[in-house]
Amino acid sequence: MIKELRSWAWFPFAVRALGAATLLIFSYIGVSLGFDFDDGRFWLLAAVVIASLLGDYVTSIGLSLVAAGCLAFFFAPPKFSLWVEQEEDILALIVFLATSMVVTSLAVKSRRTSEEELLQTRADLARFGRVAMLGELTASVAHELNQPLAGLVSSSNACRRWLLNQPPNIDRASRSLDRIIRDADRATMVVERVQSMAKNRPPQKIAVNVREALREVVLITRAEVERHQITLDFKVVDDVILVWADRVQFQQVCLNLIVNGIEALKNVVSNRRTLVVGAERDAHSHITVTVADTGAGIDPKTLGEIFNAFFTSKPDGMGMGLAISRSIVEAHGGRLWASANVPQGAKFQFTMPIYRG
Amino acid sequence: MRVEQPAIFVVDDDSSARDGIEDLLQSVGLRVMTFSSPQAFLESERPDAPGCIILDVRLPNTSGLEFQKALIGAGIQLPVIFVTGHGDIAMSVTAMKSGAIEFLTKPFHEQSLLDAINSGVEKDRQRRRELRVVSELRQRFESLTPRERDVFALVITGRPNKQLALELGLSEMTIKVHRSQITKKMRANSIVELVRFADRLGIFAKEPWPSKPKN
Repeated sequence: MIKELRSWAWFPFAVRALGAATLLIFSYIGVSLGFDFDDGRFWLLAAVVIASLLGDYVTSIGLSLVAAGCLAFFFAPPKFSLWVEQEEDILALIVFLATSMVVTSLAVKSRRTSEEELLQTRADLARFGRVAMLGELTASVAHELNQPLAGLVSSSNACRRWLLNQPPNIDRASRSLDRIIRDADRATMVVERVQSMAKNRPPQKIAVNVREALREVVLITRAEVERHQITLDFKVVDDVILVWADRVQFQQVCLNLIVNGIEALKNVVSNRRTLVVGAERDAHSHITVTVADTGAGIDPKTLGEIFNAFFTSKPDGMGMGLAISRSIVEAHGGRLWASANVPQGAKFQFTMPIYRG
Repeated sequence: MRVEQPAIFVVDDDSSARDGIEDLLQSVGLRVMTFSSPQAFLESERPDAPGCIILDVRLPNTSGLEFQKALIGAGIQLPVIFVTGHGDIAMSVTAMKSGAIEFLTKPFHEQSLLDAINSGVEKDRQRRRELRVVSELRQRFESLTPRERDVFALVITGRPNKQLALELGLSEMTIKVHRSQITKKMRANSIVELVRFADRLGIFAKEPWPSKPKN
């Protein structure tokens, strides 16, 4: 991934170098045609070109206005009249327009490419965060697998005994087999769920059933929740809310918030370790997902920083989870924020637009 | 003595694991009852037979370890076999310390489970036998008169009748009568057996000599 990041970072510089080279070539042509650049046209042109290549949207728009002004001032009447016999000026105008066009198209191309690269990087980063989080959840995933495996092994042993009976108990044996199949299916589903979180595929927005998606996340984390004797309060009453989102990324944000909640509750001495996971629609055709814990809460001093990359309050944390989550939520047209939970703990909430078929 | 058919109780909130164990135990001819929660177990009608509990360490709203304590609190002394989907060493130590028979990680080998069940049932059978003996002894002890109980506590110190008579302000003859009554009612064949009974009933011998007078 570092390699990808590097190539992404270098690409715009190549485009910019190309733009600068074009500029030099055109000015060389201009000079060889005998233009007099002392009147400032050349310098203005150069400034406009360089700034539009290096700048962002606002700078580019500003500079386009300057370029238009420049055009009006130097080439249009009353000061210069193109139909006055000034061949030089017509040539200069052509050079000016040609340079502007080349530079602008290069700038657009460069910006589009870097945006695509940025999207790709964001998707990579999101996936990286998911894989890292799954790593933290290994124990939980193992537990989810061990349950059906325990059933599978026991039922298989039972099945063999039913068959070895004299006479063989076919009825019981076939019932054991039914259970074996059921448990194997269940184990397969766990593996598929984990795989879908780790898979590298471009984000794709679909209508996601909020309750179902949240339920799956809760299942993945269930073992962790039980291990730390946390009471998980699942408050999604409406079972048909759909959001327009990438399912995996939606789940990733929820997973991140729930894992953070578990982390916050882990070291709480009190008996009231509660994690509330809820979702409800608001008045603005959005859904609000809430993950609230009764842990130590967020230090008000760091409330402004928690969404920054590399900010972490955990000794072994990377500080990427919340930063990635916020970028995912914002890419979906939602908002992610934190506040204090009453009477104690932290509350994380995010919104996402509801899908209307 | 008639061998009672043991009953195995499975408390696990996970249906796959629970059904699997049930199937396995039925296939070896054991009587099994399954429960999805500790509450369901406590509320159930359980047969009065030797048995053991197979308990998942992590249960909804409570941990298996806490439930084990609650069982002891409720006077249910069934041996406990813990099973878990996590290989958690710290937890297994705690479980074993609190008297669990075995701590198995899922998925487990059937033989380790069956062995654990055998030893659990055997342990419970012994405990029940002991319980019966003690309650029988208690009945016998309860048939003694208050005076006889006093004498009993002194007799088991091994002191001669004369001394007991002195201590209780009775005649040696009366002590002898009490003594033979006690032996008869307790159905003991010797003073040694009487002492053993007292031990099992938790009756302590009175101080062999009056405590030293204060200076």
